[in-house]
Amino acid sequence: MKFFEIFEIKPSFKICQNNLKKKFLELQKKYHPDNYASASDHEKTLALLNSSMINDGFEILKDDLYRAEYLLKCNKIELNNQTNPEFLIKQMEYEDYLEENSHDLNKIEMLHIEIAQILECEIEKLTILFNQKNLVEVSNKMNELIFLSKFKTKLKQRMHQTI
Amino acid sequence: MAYSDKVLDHYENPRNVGSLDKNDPNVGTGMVGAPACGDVMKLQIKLGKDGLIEDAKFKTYGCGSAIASSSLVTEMLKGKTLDEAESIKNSAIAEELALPPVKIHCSVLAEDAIKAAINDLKSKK
Repeated sequence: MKFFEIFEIKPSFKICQNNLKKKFLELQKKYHPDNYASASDHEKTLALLNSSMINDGFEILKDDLYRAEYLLKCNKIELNNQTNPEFLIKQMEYEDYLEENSHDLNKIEMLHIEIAQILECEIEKLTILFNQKNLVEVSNKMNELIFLSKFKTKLKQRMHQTI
Repeated sequence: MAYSDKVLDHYENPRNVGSLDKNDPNVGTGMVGAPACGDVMKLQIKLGKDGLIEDAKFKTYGCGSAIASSSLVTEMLKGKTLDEAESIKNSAIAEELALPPVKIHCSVLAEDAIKAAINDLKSKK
């Protein structure tokens, strides 16, 4: 939970992004190398370590999926490495659809909207599961979320390439 | 990352891409995924009357190594009995393609796909 401690945020899936950002800027300023120009080598090294830890922590905490994975890790729950077979079929269908329509910007955009909506909905479900402390079910859901998130990024890239 | 020539060859000229009729009683379908990278792999085998695998097709969405692993596997499977097919190890795939350690999981995925396809076929018998 060290990242939550660094940012003085209560360990939870739902966090206030504004708070996180504010705290990040504050900490970044505090440990900025410029403040340590005349410090000893030891202090400089320490400031550098702190600064890189702050950056890592910020990247993890600000992202819904990274934060969920981090919370699971802190609770010593491994990600399930088996994806539900029904979802694999769905995954294949999405990929096939994209391949068949790879030059149809309109269809790619529509699919992007659809995936973004599903993802949003699934993240809401994740919030509920975290509230219920049902971490095993969270870990079962993660594979689907990771795919949806990556697929959404892929669609976005395709949209830019097609334009 | 630099891919080996063999991976590149399979990636650029994948063998046996496509689908077989999954409802055919002599066709086994294996669908597996690598959650961490979002890869999905479908492998299908068709058993001939002589008990040997007469055809194998694949469709993979994933990185070059995952595509190359499944493409290679379809070549290896043809002409084999189910027992021989079941004994194909991921290490043989990784070695043939000279996969680097970070890509070994792609060959594991291909081995899992073979097992899943055989299980599906057996469940139809």
